[in-house]
Amino acid sequence: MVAGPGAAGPSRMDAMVAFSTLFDESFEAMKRLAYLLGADDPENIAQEAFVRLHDRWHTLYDENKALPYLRAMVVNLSRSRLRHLKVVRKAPPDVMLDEVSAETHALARQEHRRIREALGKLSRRQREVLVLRYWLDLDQAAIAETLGVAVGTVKATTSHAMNNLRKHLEEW
Amino acid sequence: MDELERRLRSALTDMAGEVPASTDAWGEHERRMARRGRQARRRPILVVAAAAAVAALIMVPVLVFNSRGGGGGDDLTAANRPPETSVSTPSTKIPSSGVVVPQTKATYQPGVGETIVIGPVSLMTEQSGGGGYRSLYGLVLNAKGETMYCTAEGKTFTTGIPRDDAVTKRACSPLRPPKPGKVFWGKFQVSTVADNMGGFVFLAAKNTHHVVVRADNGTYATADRMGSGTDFDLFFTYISGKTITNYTAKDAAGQTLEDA
Repeated sequence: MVAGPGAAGPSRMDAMVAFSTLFDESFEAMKRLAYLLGADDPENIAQEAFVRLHDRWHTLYDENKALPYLRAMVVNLSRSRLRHLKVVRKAPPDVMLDEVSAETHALARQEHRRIREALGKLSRRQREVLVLRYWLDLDQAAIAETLGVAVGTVKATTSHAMNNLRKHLEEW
Repeated sequence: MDELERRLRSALTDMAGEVPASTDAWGEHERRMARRGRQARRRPILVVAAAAAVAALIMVPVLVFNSRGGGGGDDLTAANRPPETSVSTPSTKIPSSGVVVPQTKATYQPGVGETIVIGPVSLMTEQSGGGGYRSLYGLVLNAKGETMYCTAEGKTFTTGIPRDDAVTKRACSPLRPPKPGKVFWGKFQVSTVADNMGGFVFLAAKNTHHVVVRADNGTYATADRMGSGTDFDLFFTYISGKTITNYTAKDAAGQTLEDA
């Protein structure tokens, strides 16, 4: 690998340290986010998100920018993965979460199984909003930034998602 | 928070906890970065090859035209050689392969009787065969009245970014002052593992502004000043090849100082 001299200043060292610190702090969370969004290869998605972040680190060397970028990247990569699975398996991606759950968590508590299955019946966007809100604890503005939608859309989607979730749980 | 929200939060936390922790996530990240670096390294070679092909398509008809007397010229002497800009591949425009090398504060601890004239100057970082990295430096020393150009190596982070550490001197070659009317004190090839890319260091008198380098594949590159000494400066460039056919020192006005 050959690289040219003189492309950056000494602060590059600090940036490298900041990147590896962010990696240590956020990799597992990003992996779990991909899993909760229904991706079957969360590790790969989290890795890819960090590689892309690394490519843009000179413009995102700031936790306030880097974390939202990472979250958005994980959401986008998870969507791409679900679209791919939908084509390959010719089955709706929502089924996948239930399949994984059923296989690997047979002994999970009944309550959580019901919620998992209900989550699997939600639309992709509704599940994204709920995961970002109730697992990552993001506020509506941060969710809107992550998903690239308006705050009003987040409010409406959250409301619809909770209503649908409640309905699915009552049908159980 | 209502009851459903509490149950949802609890279920999501439970689900997230079922994902096993990765054992070597950072190692995998570095492997991916290295893979991307290798892919990116191939890209400039393809770009250079494409540029060379385009240049050839342009130059061949011109040469044929000239050889038939249409252009009034008879050969490609130094005087009527095509301008560098026509097919140049300036060193700074050869894209790096993913890792950007910063100007580090690498230092060299002079030995007994040694004084530093120039450097250490960060030249390049490359991936070695074993998957690691090495960072190469140029250094000019004065020892026992003799001026020498030396290569040096520095440590890097595992990602290939050079560290601000002391560099280790490797090999030195003596420099001889240029003859009257000449400017070059020396020219050295930087040993690289890349098959289709080389690095060259030129030491030229102070009135030199840059050095135009012509590779054996016909492309040009410009060596820029990377370090400054009392009697001469250090210039460096990459070329898209392993050998050069000639190099020319130019002053700030673009006038030729020496054509070697």
